[in-house]
Amino acid sequence: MDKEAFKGLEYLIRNKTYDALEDAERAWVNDQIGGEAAYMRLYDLVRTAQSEREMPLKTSSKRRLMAQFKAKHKSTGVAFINYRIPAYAVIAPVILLLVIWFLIPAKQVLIEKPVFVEREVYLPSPVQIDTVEIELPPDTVFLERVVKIPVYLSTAKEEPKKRKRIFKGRSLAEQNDVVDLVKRGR
Amino acid sequence: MGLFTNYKKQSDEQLMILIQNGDHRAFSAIYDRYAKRLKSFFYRMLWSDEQMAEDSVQEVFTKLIEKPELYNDQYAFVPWLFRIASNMCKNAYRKQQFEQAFLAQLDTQQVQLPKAEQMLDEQLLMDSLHKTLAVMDEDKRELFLLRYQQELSIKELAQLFEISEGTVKSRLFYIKQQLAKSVKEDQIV
Repeated sequence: MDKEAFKGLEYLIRNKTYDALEDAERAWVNDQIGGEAAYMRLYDLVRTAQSEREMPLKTSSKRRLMAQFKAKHKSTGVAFINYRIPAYAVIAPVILLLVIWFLIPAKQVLIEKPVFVEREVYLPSPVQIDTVEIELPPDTVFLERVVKIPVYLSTAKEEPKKRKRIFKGRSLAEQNDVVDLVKRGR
Repeated sequence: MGLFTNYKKQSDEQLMILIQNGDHRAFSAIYDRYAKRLKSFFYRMLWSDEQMAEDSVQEVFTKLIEKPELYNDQYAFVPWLFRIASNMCKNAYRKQQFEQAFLAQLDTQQVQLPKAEQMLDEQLLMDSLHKTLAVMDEDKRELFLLRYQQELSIKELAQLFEISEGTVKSRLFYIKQQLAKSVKEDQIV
């Protein structure tokens, strides 16, 4: 079978009925497959096959499959874990981090501290010193202490105490007499 | 994949990657694209049995859910999908051969078959395409349907059967010649 024969027959069967064939095509078809009946049978078969490319399905089939799919990929967390990324996308950042860590010198942290250095200083003579400042420790030290004393507070009102009156309704002189009597027995 | 992604515009291969990542909308898009086509293919491959075709479609997509990683995104999706369908048909043929052998054995032992089973073939609506396909070899039937019913390209068919494009063309040409020959023989008879 040559290439042209395949292409030619494919084209004719898909596009032309036997009656629509030109004389040269008809002669070629007769030679290749043997006449009108055979050609038209092929033509019909191909047409029938083409016309039934799809067949409707029950709607429940898709529903069932979708439920099955969702059940398998239930958790979004799992889906995230299963997410495929190329190996280089994982390795590259790791290598980059290592390069940054090792190659870039660490920045030194400077702590400023006063450093006292003893040094002999030679002053030109004669040197006149008129004021000498001597630093002495303080002579008075104030200590602050916090003393905590618990103070109990009460919301209850205190009633004023009533003074006991022994001798109700008598004068002070009379009261003294009574006391003397009690004390001396007179 | 974003919320507003148009799944209809995605290629089959892109959708398969999304399915592998658990995207149910991608699965829905693939189903809408191929379920009806697969059913039609199974229907003609499996003795024009609609229920069997429906079940087979279900099985193909179940496989796709359970093992989406079997698909390699380096290859075209359509040949891969129809190769699964083709393998399932081969399994069905093997099963049927076994059943027929079993029934024949029962027949020799003069066991009465249920009436429904006896009438199975007679119930089929024998249209011309069904008759033609019934007398064809499995491989030829498959090739014929994939080419003229499912409109797969020569390249896709070559990928599917793992043969050269030239071999696909010559097989198709041979099928057509054989069909034409069968018409002539019918006429003679």
